[in-house]
Amino acid sequence: MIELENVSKSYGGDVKAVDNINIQIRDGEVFGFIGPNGAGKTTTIKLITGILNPDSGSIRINGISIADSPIDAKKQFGFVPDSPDMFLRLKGIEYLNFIADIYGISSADRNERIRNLSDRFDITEALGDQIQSYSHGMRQKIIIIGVLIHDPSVWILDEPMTGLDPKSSYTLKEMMKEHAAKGNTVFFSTHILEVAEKICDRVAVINKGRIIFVGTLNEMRDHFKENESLEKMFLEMTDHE
Amino acid sequence: MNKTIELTKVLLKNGSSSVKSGTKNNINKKMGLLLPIVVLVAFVPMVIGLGEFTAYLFDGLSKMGQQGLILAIALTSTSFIIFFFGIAYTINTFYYSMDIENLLHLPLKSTEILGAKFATVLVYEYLTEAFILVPVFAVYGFKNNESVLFYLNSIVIMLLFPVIPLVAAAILNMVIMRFTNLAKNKDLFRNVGGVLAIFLALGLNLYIQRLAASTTDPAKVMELINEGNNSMVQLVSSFFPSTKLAVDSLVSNDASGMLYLLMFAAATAAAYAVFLVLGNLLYFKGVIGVSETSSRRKALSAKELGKGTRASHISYSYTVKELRLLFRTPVYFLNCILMNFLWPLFLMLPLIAQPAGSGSDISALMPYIQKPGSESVIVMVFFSMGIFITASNIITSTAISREGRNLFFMKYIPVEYKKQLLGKALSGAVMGAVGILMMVPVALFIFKMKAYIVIIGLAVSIPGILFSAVMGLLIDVAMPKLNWDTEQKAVKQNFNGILAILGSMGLGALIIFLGVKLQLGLLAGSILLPAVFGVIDIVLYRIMISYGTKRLEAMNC
Repeated sequence: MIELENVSKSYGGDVKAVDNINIQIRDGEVFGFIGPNGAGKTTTIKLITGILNPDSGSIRINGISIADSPIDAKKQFGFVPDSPDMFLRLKGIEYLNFIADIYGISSADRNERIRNLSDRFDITEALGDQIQSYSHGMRQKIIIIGVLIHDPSVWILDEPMTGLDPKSSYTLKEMMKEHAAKGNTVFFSTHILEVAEKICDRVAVINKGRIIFVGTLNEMRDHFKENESLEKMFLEMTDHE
Repeated sequence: MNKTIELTKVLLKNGSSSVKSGTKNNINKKMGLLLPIVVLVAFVPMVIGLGEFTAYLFDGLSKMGQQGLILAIALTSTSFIIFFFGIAYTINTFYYSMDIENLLHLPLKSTEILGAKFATVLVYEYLTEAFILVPVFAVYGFKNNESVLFYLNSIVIMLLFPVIPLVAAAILNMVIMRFTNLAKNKDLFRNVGGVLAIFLALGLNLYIQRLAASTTDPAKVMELINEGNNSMVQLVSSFFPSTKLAVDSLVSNDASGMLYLLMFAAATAAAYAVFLVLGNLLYFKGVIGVSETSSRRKALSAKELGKGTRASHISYSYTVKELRLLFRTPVYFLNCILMNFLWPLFLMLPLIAQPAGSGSDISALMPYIQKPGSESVIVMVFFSMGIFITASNIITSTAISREGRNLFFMKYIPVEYKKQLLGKALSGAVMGAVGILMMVPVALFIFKMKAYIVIIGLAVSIPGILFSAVMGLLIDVAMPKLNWDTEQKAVKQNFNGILAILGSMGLGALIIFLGVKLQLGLLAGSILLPAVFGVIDIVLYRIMISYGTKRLEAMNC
């Protein structure tokens, strides 16, 4: 569960990147965070993960405040950042083992999970190579495996489908649904509406730092005229402001 | 041409973002102003020394009417310095700058990219040459009662002068990169190339030092010049014949001086034209694919996987991660790692360079080392070397800066900042310890020190190593340089490293001075010094951790 209460953030100056946001992402749901470029999606995710400090408001992950107990809160989630270009001179296996050390995973568990996951994402043969030799999609995969390796209850993913091939994209979407079905929380941002349409239980739409809609896709349809494509609704909502 | 100028402006603006990390801290702003001043002040003694040396040479040479030699020596050595700095500058801006991949797809000609990159490097070279040429020209002009024309002339010369050696450096790089781009393991190739370049520079340094040792006597200078085949001027002139034109134009006061200046300008323009023509042929072929890496794409065996997935404590794991990145990133390897192994060579070089029996070679030092009662001083020297070597590997003083745009990783992982800071401090301390250990054979076999003194020295150096490791991290966490587009800027063009080195030199010298002055015995020296610094280290570490945690929490990224 992720709770944001009256969260605001500005990068100096008057413009608020995030303006008084209230969202509650419940256990057992895949929650999509939709909005145009520069709407405040990544800023919100950085606030949740403790990369940025909010100017005001409170954020809790599984009931633990990221401001008061940052280490405990950070243990609750796994995070896939929007740019996977990290630790390019580590080998894939070295990166994963480092992550496993960070989260204190036993040798036996990490060995088994790395084998399974790299198989599932089809990068077993690249584990012995440096990450800088990977394509964008492969880098994305190694980061995703890094998250799955410590099996957190909350997943936070910033544009996770970018650069993934269709098979991996499908695998990831299935995994997100499975994870939520087990009573866990999946929170991800996207600007691809089809993805949101296919797997989200609920969505929030953000524009210019403000949440302009939270609810199920059906509610969104009801909210607007029936049978109108999500894309049109989306355009309508984001154009309004 | 317009595009070249526009691109130059963009590149210079991108490069100058020094202490900007979203940390709107007053300390930072003040430090941002203060640091260049500190560095300038640090160079003042060098500039004054050069001026005095020029005056001294002038007095000797003017008696023989040979004062023009001063300009020749200044310009020839400057061209060599520019050439060597140029090799590092050009390879980094031309090939390893992160903006390359964003430029390659633009509809720009290779000559436009090259011209702009050349211009940015030229700006750095102006700063470099100014430290040497300004004092020399000023003192020479004053002593020789030169007219305004001389100073105008020298300004034009200074503007044109770096072009030719820089073109030479750039062409050398372009040729090398054209062919090493074929190499499979490029990182390794670059590391090896870097090591070779350093040895080349060392060899040249040795040669020049030997020469310099015998050129302080003006009569000997004359002798050398007359000898011809062995003189530095001759050597460099054969590399850069155009330098002679620049010298001639400065020395002659009449119309012929003007003519020489025009000829020098023409030579410079010709060199630049050659650079553009060759660049057109070589540059794109060398730079395209420069960031590609070799890969095996072979599944790990069960044994390899088992070895690769062994659990270890996070502090150990974090330190190993830091060291891996330092060893594998060519720029970091050359600036932070290699030096630790080369210290014995660097420190011995000035001694080897002195001609035997000149009074300042190794044999002259031996009596001081062997003298009874010198043990405490030796121990202090070990301690000071611990401070200096650890600071000069700039591992901790760039540890946060090197994270660059990936600093956010430190912020979302559930590892306390104090553990992450410890891992970074340890990586610097480990390499500092390696540096000190490299000195052991020198101490034992060249200086013939007694083994027990060396062992005590090693033990005493530990608090010194830790001091510099913690101090460097404190500096870098206070004002990290996170906004860089090439790894070069994170380490080499980072004031934090310079600050740490200068500080460690001062402190090290102070301790040796106090040691000699106070005449502490071996026992007192080897107990008191580490004890005092042990306490200082603990306090400093606590300060670094609590301040560092606060700083990291506050950093926006």
